[in-house]
Amino acid sequence: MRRERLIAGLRCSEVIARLDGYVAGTLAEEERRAVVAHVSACPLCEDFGGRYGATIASIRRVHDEAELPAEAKDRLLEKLAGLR
Amino acid sequence: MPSEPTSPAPDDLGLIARIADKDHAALRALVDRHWPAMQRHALALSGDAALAEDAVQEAFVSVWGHAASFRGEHGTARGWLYAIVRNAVRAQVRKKGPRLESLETDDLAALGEAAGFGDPDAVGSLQRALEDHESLEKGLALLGQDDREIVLLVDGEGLSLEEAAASLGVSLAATKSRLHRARLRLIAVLSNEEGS
Repeated sequence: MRRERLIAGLRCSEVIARLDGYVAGTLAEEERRAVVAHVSACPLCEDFGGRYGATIASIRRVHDEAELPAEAKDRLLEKLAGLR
Repeated sequence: MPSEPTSPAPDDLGLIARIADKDHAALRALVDRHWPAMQRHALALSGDAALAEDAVQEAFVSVWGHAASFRGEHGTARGWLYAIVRNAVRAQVRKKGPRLESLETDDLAALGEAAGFGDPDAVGSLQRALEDHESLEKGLALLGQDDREIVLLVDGEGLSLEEAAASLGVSLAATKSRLHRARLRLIAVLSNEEGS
């Protein structure tokens, strides 16, 4: 990987591999500390981690703001009422 | 005067048991509880309102027909509903399926590069795409079906990894791995979107 650095015992690619666990809070404590130490000294990983988190937050926001057509539910209920 | 005790709303399993006995009120209660999430999920998966409506209808009709055989194979009842909706959407969009052949790698370092790691130019593109609903939806639509499903289930609907794994019928480890790679592919798509 281009511009990869080794900081706090982790290479940038190893930090990327752990981003999901970091976001989910599922990393073991020692691993989490190493990721935090790396990211705080590596602007590239700090930037990329921020982008990763922002993407997740945006997906949730767009999903929550989706408009649901109420008439679609009415049509569904009408269809289900006819089931025997 | 003491207030009347209120009976708790029946849980999903109770409703499904009653639906198996052809109880329409229970089916209505299940629809009231889960229709918004199912409709939203179908819409996000398909990107097509009419198709999403058909898929959700098909899913609840299927619940009516198969409630008696529900055995918790997709974890919770909610996980089962997501699986039925997903299959209904899949059946209807089988011919569409956009693919990202250039991002078919599963190598995390390669995906990180594709997602713009270390590339300052990628930041602005991604930021603009994340602020624009249409761009984000377009990016999601460009993902392969498996990637889109896992991202929407976990990051969109907010299912836990365990619940998503049960609904998808794959292991927890595979779910984690698939989700992480799918997010990186999405970032790659959004970071490289033309005109964004």
